[in-house]
Amino acid sequence: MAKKNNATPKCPNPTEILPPATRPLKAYAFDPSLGKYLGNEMTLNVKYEKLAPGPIGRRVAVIDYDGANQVFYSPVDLDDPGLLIRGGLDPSESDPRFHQQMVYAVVSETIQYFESALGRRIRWRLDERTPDAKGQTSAKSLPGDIFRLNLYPHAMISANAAYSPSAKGILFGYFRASKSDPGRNLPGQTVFTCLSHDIIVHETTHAVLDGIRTYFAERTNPDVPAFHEAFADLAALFRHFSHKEALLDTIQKTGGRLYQHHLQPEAAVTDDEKGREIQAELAADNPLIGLAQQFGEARGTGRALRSALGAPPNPHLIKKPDLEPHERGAILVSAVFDAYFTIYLRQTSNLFRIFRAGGGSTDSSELSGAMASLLAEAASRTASTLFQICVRAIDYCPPVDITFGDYLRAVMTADRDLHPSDPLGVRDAFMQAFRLRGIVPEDAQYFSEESLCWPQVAKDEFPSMKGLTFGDPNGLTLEEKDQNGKVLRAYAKRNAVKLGFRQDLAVSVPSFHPAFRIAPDGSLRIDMIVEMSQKYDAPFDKSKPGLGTFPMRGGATLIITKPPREKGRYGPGEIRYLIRKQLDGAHGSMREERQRGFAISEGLLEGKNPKRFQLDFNMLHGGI
Amino acid sequence: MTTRTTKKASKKPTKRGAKKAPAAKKKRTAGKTASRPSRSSTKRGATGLKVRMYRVGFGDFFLITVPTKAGDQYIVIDCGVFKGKTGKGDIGSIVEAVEDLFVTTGGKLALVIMTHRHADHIAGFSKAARFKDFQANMVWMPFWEKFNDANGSDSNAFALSNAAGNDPDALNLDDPNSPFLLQHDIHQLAAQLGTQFRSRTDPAAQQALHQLWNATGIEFSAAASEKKKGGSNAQALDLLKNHLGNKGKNVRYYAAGDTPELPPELAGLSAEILGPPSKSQKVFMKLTDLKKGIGQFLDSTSDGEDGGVAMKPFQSRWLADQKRDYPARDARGFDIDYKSITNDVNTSQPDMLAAAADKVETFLNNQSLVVLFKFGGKNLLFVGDAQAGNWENWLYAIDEPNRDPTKIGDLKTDSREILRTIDFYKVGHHGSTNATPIQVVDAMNTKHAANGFVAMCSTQADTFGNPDNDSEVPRVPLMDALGAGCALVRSDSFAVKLKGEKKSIPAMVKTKLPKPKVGTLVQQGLYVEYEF
Repeated sequence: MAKKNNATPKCPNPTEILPPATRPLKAYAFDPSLGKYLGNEMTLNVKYEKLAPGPIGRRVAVIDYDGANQVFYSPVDLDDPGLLIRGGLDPSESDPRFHQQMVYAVVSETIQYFESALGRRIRWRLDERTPDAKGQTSAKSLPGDIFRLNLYPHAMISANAAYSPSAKGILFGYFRASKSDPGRNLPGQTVFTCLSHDIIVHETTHAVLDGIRTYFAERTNPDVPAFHEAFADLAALFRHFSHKEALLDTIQKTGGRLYQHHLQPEAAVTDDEKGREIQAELAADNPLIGLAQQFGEARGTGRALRSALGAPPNPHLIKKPDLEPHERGAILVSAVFDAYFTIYLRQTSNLFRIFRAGGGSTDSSELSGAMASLLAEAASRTASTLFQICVRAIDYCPPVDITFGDYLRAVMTADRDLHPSDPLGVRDAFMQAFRLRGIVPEDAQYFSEESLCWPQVAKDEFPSMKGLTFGDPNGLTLEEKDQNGKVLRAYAKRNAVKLGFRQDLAVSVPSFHPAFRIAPDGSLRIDMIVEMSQKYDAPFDKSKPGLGTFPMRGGATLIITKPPREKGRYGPGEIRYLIRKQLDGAHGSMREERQRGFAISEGLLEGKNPKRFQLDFNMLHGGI
Repeated sequence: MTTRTTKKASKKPTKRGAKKAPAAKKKRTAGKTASRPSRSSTKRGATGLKVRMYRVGFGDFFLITVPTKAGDQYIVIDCGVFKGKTGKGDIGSIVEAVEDLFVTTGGKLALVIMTHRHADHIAGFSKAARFKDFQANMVWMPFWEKFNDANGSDSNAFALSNAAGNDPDALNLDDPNSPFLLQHDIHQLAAQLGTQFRSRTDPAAQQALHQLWNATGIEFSAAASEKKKGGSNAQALDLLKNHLGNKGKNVRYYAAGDTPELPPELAGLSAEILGPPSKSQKVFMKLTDLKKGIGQFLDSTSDGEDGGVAMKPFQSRWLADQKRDYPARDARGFDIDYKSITNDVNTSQPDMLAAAADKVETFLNNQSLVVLFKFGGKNLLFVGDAQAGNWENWLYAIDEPNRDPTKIGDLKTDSREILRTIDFYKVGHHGSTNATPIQVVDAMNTKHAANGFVAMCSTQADTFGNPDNDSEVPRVPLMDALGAGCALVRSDSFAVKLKGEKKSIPAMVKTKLPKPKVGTLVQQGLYVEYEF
């Protein structure tokens, strides 16, 4: 590790101006095709850091290299006084420096959202570290480690953008809009994926998730790639609801029914379709629930790339074996948004009652300004709450072989853990929305809140974890990290069987993160989220060893709580949850069979390159 | 093993062959004694049926001789070769092999089968001018070929009118999955991918480029501007569709379950069509993925003539000099390695394009016509290059491809019976793993007496794939598994001599001809032949 560039002032100087907390930067709220309408040109306030031209910061760097033309484009210097004073460059499609600025701003803001939801700082993907014979791993950095995520705004000519662990960053493509049906683009104009707010958030989410849960990018069952996609879409969609102008406008045009696919036309329309002659009479798509409008239209589909809500819920759809990952992911996205809108309606039902009692009619979409702003507030607050729940749930997922059912259990547990009372019925909304789409956990006993939450570990079921340092919300020091790593690996080794691991295989600890969260009563909750895993190479066919093997993993997520202080000192950490996927037992062999079948059907039998088991986001996407 | 092989190491060819083909003199060295084969000794249950595999390199070229009361009748299944990624796939023997075919058959064929339109299955029809002198009573092609026009190109109007005559239903253009549109798209896609790849030199792009070349017959890497209409595949298809098959009158398109029409001279022979999946089973072609996953290439470049030219997104004043304009270190003081950055970006893109090319390949392979012939109690299975979808469709009782073979259930009883009772198997896709499912190998090897059937694999090692990542073709473990249960012959396991160029092509693997339980295997000239 290199020396830290310490920016804190050395000695207090009463006249010195301290660095600002945030840096305002302009960006498109959606994409260039919406023009300046509806606050499409917005300003993001991202955490201030000193930037080199690029912009190149500590954790993200924009490097504008074009792989198709093999050239670099001029980097923007956001610390230039001319730009500092006016919040960055104004939105422009023809100036690559604005593209760089927007990518930097949106990625940085997305990171901030995740960090505030998780209650800790995030890190990027690190290479797998397999423990040696003594169960220890080297602290050295490995070639695949990503310390700084590179962002390439114009990496390729392709209607695609992708997070690529091998390129240690995100590749954004550009392409020509369809000549026959370009939507609101010019036929054949250049469309930049790096100017789509949604696409940037989507790709950043892939990178964030890959940093939190490395094995979610290992293709072990059909839900795994779908989950990565769904989660990235969820993050992008929830962001729409933090955009005030668009939200208010949509509420006005849907009469508060935010889930409608179309907005009410601005001008009153006769029933006769032919009567619609001016644009104000046309029903526009609801911008809040559509993803990447310009991109979708440029490809000639005439609509947004994907939508939060698709078809009516169908519990049989998910059983179709040949669903493509995005289609499968869309089921999860629509389940979460079903829950979201349900909660939103519950929250606002009283408002509507008052509104009607006061003579308001819900047949028309006309709402008073005050009513619209109350609804917008509720929608925005609910979105932010649900986004937090969805993100926190990641910490409650097993580290390997994720399924949608596991995610449901994680959501339930995460929410109950922090908000035991559930006045809005968030958990019920989730349960029902998932059930309607046939997403059920494979190992829960009943479909009830009790049964869906992961069971809490009984006190004293496991030996206490001595020597664990929970550190500080700003992160652990290097020494603390080393110390914790040793403690956790030793603990895993000593208690392997008890934790559900196989004794004969080494247990590695891919990650541990302290998380600091504020409980509803205002108290600070300090947990350590620990991933443990082990793997063996399972043969594709026992009788034909020549066919090779696939990596079969077991793993456990431990949630260890810092206990309250007693008698003047803190006791050892307490394991509260043990969320695991074992290699042994009936479930283990079922998983092995399933993974073998999946690997064979995905064509992973061929080849020796272990990378083939990893998701390739570039390929997976085909269109983000 | 050695003693057994000597016995049948050489065998006089048919009369005409002996007279005209000096190649017959070039015998396998293993059989130095050059004794006449004693047919009787291995004749148990023999019908006189013969299957001949020509060694042409990486490509299929098979001849079946059917002994009927009216004399020998001939069926040709594919005639193609492709030089592949390494350029070593085409050993240059195909023209001479076609001459040999002419000598053997007198230019009169009862039936020609084109399993699918890849160069390694059809190139010979255009490479060998001799085919103009051939007559064939009938031509069989896969059902999906019906939706390509007779010139093999993708000209809309022509294909439309052509297909409309046969199956108006398939022409429902409102249905985005209509076979016609799919076929049209696949050729567009292949051609466009080719232009996108053209300037690339990295290995992934090269592999993809060659897959596309195989699919279209267009040599993208050379003479990019001179894009001939359809390339050499088109010429071959023209010959097959318009010249052979009684001047195009007797060209038949079949899918699984169809009852094929056999030319009358093949009395005593019956045939069953097991693949490709039909229009109603199109999910097995993995087409839905294709449209969704990579369709954007069509949008991004198809309607411009400038598909292959790189777009310049910005005016030149925005171009930067990396050394001058970009910082050498990041905010934490780490050096920024621009060299590895440019390399990362340059190499990460072709994966996507390569995947698209791979889908084109799979799609065409899955079109393969799979035929089971029966004659005199002998069963012969020719599978072309069929991949998973094509196989699954007839092996299992399922309505759509199953991603989870553990839940797929057992093979259908009649499929299992077919596999259990075959006497001859043409190994799919030149021995690559994706074309002979494990379950199939198991089913064929179960209850078959050792060496109870003969399998022929036309291949040329070191043409495609890479043993370093286990993608070599033919795949060694598959060859081993298959070879354990039957008498397996690879076309690259014997040396051949080319009389035209006066050079000899060495064997790629040194194995001796196996001894089949029934019948005789003979290698001579450019081929190996199994009589049973």
